[in-house]
Amino acid sequence: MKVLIISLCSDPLSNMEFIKPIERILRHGGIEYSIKHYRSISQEDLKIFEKTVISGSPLKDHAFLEDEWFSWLNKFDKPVLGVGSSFQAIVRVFGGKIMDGRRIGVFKVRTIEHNKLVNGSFYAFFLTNKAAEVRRPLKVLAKAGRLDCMVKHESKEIYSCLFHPEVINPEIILNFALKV
Amino acid sequence: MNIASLFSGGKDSCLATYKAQRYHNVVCLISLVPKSIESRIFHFPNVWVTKFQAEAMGLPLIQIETSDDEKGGLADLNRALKLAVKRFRIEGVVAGIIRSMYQASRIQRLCDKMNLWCFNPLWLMDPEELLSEVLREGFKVIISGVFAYPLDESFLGKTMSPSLARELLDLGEKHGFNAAGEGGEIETTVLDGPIFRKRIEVTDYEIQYRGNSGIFMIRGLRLIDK
Repeated sequence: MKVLIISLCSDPLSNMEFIKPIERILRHGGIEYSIKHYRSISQEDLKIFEKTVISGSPLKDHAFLEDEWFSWLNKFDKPVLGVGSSFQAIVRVFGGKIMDGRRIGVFKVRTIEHNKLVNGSFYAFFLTNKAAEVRRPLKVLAKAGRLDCMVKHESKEIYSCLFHPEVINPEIILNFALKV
Repeated sequence: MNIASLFSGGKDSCLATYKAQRYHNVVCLISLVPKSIESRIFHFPNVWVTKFQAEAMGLPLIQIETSDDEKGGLADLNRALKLAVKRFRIEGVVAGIIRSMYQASRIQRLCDKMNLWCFNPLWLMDPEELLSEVLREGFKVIISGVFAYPLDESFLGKTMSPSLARELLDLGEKHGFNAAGEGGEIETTVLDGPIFRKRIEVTDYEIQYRGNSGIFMIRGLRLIDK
């Protein structure tokens, strides 16, 4: 099984903060992976890899939202996990709305629907200045207070967390890689 | 991009500065000095050395006194960043935070409020990975504080080496402390490295050790051309 990690970071220095931690989790889990920046992804890449993890990015980095690049997700049938700021892009591709909403630090999350990645209540690290209004075909899997913070496509294995599971919830990334 | 480095003079802030310099212009260092004499003596005995580290690196230093309480500390950091924006036109900040979500959240919030980029290139690094990189890149690091059992007086002033790193990692694993010292178990001071134009030589020092904690207090130093 081979996972593609897609970096959303426009500044290479940010890769150390947003890509390396995901890379370490996959490496420790014995999972093969490759890393590519979203602007250099080809159709061929999407065919080769079995699963895709899309990274987060710094609070000031919203360059990825200016691109229409994410529209491929609409026709994509392989499993995808978006973390951090990629939540915004995934929600937007599937018709949701992005709005201002800052949440930085550790917050309690409770799952509201049973799923393959995580269940019950847990604490997670958030680093976001945006929130999202989720619409079908995405369904909400978990909330932090009233904030929708984890979603899944209702018919595809496309997941996204507004928080950063690589910080204190590595099992979410491993469950995605091994169980989905 | 012009960025400021939040600088303590230890291995983490030096490595973070070094990594940032590969991609950006680090135009100044920011060092917060505790107002409380007790904090200054027992937790940051070598904070005065940052002035000479900055000189050795050829970078200006913004040094600001800071309160021990959270609110005051944040306001002081805010003041330092404003000064760096004004004097050096910084657009971002780099910090050597590894695992502290409390510290990371504080700095991220402040940067977000001030519209600054925030970079944490050491974020979630393993102690072994961190110590290996510090050594591989050629930093000369001494242990300037030990605050956890079984780290005793014999560690104070020792220069980091592959064998010392291994010893710390093994002890950390056995006794449950972070060998990279992010929990405050170990304090370090950097005397040389790839970001230094001059190296620091310690000419005088004093060791204080009591209970399970101790400090290597640098009393005198000189800068030597490389």
